[in-house]
This record gives sequence, C-alpha cells and structure tokens, in this order.
Amino acid sequence: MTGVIALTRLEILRALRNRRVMFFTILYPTVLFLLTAGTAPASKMVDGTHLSLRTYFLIAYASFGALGAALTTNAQKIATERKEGWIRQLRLTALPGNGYVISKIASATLITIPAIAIVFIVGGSMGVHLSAAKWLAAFLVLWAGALAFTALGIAIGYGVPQDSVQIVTILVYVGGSFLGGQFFPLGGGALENVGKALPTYQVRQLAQDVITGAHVPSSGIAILIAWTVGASVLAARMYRRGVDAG
Amino acid sequence: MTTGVRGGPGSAAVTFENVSKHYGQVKAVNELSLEIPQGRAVAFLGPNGAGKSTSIDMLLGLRKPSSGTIRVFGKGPHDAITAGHVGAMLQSGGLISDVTVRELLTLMTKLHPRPLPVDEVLKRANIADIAERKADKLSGGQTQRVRFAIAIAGDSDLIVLDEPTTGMDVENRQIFWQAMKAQAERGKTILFATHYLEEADQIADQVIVINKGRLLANGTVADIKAQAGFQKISFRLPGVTRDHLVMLPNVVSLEIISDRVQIQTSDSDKTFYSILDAGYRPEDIEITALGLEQAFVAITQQDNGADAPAAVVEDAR
Repeated sequence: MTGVIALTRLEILRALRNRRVMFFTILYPTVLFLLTAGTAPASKMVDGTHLSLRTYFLIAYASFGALGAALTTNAQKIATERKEGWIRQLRLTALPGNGYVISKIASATLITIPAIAIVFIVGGSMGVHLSAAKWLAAFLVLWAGALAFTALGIAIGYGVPQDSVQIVTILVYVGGSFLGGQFFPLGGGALENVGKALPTYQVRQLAQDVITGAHVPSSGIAILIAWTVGASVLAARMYRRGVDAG
Repeated sequence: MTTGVRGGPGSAAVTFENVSKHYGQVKAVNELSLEIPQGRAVAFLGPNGAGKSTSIDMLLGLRKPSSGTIRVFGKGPHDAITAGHVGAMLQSGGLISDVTVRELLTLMTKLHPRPLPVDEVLKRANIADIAERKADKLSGGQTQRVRFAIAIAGDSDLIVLDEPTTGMDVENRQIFWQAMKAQAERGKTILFATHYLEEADQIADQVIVINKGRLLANGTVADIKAQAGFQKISFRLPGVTRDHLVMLPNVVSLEIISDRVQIQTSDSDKTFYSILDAGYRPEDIEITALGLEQAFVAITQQDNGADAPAAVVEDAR
C-alpha cells in the first residue's frame, strides 16, 4: 500500500508541474467560462427556464474542467508510459499489479477537485449566488461524475494505438463537451437528444438539477452509471490486454 | 560472501527447466534448461532473434512460458520480484516526465521491500551529479545509468540487465561496468545480455550462449573458447605462399599478409608440429586462444548448419 501511495503522490506532483495538465484543468475552462458567462448579462436566463445563463455556464464549465482533468491527462500519459516501457518497469517492482492504475485513478480524482473549484470560485465572484449546501451538492455531483471520464481516459490510454491517442482524446473531449451542452445550452431538438446519451450531458444536467431543485430523472443517473461502469469494464479489459502484451 | 544467499546456501539463483515459449508456429525459446548459481556474473549471449529477450522476459515474469518451469531463488518469477530478490534493467525505455532523477529513484526505493538510501543508489550508479536534473531531459548514456540505478534501488540478490550498455559511449560504458563490478563484489548474482562480447569476456564468470531458442553453451569464458575448438597460430615466415600451408592438418582458415601468417586451427599442436615437420622454421610465434567474439561466432555458425563452417574452410583454400 505504501508503494501505491508513493506512486500516487508522485503522479500528483507530476500533474501539478505539467503545463499541459494545468492548461486543460485550470486555465482553459476558466478562460472559456469568463468569455461566455462574463459577456452574458447577469439577468439573462436560459431559454424556457428559471436558470440564469451565468449559473448554467458555471456548472457547464466546471464539468468541462473536470472532464479535461480526468480524461486528457491519463489518456496521454498512459499511452506514452506504455510505449516507453515505464509500465513494464513498474511490473518489476513490488508494486501490486493494479497499483499503477489505482495511482492514475487517485491522481485524476484529486486533480479534478481544483478543476471544479476554480470555476466555482470565479463564478461566485461574478455574482452567482447559491446556498452552501447547493455549492457542495453540485461539487460532489461533478466530482463523482468525473469518474466516468477517468475510466474513459484509462480505456483510451490502454486501448487506442499510441499515435492515435491524441486525436481520439481530443474528439471525445471536444465532441463530448459540444453534445453535452458544456459550450452552450442545447435548447431541445435533435442535438439535445443525442447529447442525452452522453456522460458529459448527464453530469452537467444532474449538477444543474441539484442546484435548481428540479426533479432528478432516474434515467439520467442510470445513463451516467452505465457509462462509468461500462468505461471501467472497458478500461479493465484494455489494461489486461496491455499486461499480456507486455 | 553470504549477503546474497537466499533460499539456503548452494541453491541456484535461477533455474530454467525445459522452458519453451511459442508464438504461434514460432518457437522463440525451445526446451531451455539451465542453472545460474548465486554470486556469479553471467553473460547471456546469442545472435539477434536467438530468444534472449524472451527468456529474460520470462525470467522476470513479464511473459509466461508455454511450458516448463522457471525458479528464481526457489520461487516463481513474480513472487521473487514481489519479495525483492530481483532488480532489473530492461532493454529499452525512457524515463517518465516531470520528475527529477532523485524523485524517480526515491519512488523506486519505496517500491522495494529492502530499499537502499537514495543517496547510496545515486553513488553506486555514479549519477549523484545529475540527481536534480529532470529525468526525461538526459543524454542517452545518462538515461541508461539512471535505468541501472532503478535496477539497484533495492538490495536485490539478482540483477538482470538486458543489453545495458546499448547507446553508451566508451566513457559511460566504463563507468557503468565499474558500478556493475562493485555490485558483483557485494555478492550479487548478475545476469546480463549484451552484444559487446569484449564486455562478456572481461566481466563474466559464466557465459550462456543460446541460439534458435536452445542452449548452445554454458560454462566459463575459457570453456566457451575451448568448445569453439579454435586457436590462432601467428608467425613470420619469409617467402611462404598459400600453397605451402593450406594442406596442413586441422586448418580452418589461413591468411598471409606479406610474410606474416595467421592460421585458425582446431588443433594448434598438430598444425604447429606439422609446420615444423615440413621443415619450416617460423619466427615470432604466437599461439593464442580465439577471442570470445570469434568463439561465439564459431559455435553459433556450427549450430546454424554444417555448411557454414565448411564454407569458411573452402574459403581458406
């Protein structure tokens, strides 16, 4: 266990030092949030709802930051470290067989915290007012929901050929955010119907429902859980395949 | 030297028992049996594709044998690694980004059941001067030395090195082998695969040669040279031509450069006596065993088919 903790600690240190990670986790979501929410009038509502546009974007970009933190880092790092033989090298230590993956999950889960928090802090300073309980609830939903993205990142890192990892990651990252309503409210119609099948949409929607006190549809939770479990099974399978191939 | 003794004195560090590894139709390793006693420095030689890396991967538990048994200090490979018996440096691989050499090695010591102090590891691997550098921003030779440091981050009993000096310049290579010799003097068992046969010649107590996945030779450097069966006779004999010498017994190859004659023979005594019997009186005589490299080439060629050495003989005549 001490080995897993030591590795996790080093993984977090590496992530904090990595400019790319900081960009996707902190800078990019915050800047996009400022550009969109900052230019919208404080009184403007999302069409057909009682939700202010600023609050909408607060949740949208906090979930976007969580997606970036959980997905992009792991996918890239795992692919590179597989190719470089680092994973093989770790298998020649007393580290438990799943220690590497555990450390990746743990570090992604921890790096997701500042990704969500920074958008919340900026949003709060821009005049989004929520009760402490709602801030906390929204945070916990986004944080737990990011597990689906962590699992997806690991599955991509292990399963996709190394030279395609970047493009696949960007596709999932941007495509998932576009259809998930991270960049703008989908406003019903075909786009939203497609989006509803995605974890990006469901995480955002769930956090939003928690804030507005709207009825939380169990189908949404089911879709999110299905993605998390499905991606985890896929990640585990890809991981085993990576192990057998050496 | 008792520091390295595990699993009782006299027990082998490594045992392969009829180990085979098949990839589809291809037999990468074929019924390989061998034993490595504790405390030896063992060179593991073989041409490209002989099955060296596959054997090492199986020894380290990275691949499973198709059949046969591998024991490392009396345990299965994976258990031996978990117990901290084995430190290994794989053939290739980079180091991870965004960490210093010291941080990386600190991690590796924490992943070992019997860790060494990080400063001691840095000293032993001769990398104290680059401890604060970023691990992914090193030269090829420095990277190899850090990878060696990873292999010795704990007090392992067996150190396995797969072509450790590939990509090192001469200076780095010397520094590296000094560090390795120091490990051997601590009573560690060392197994290294290499393409540089002079390294094996200088460092190894035992040489294992495999070819086409099978064991070809296993003994001391002198044993291997003897198994190759060739010696070299060199002398000066003014006015001599090929025709005079080519009919001598046991000659494998013959070379004459001005009046200097070089003969490879499978029996230096017989060849040399018949030179004298023929009435020649050569000068500046040297009779030497072949270098390990020539011996290695000879025995792998013999193994690759009877036609290969025959071609050498024909060439000589």
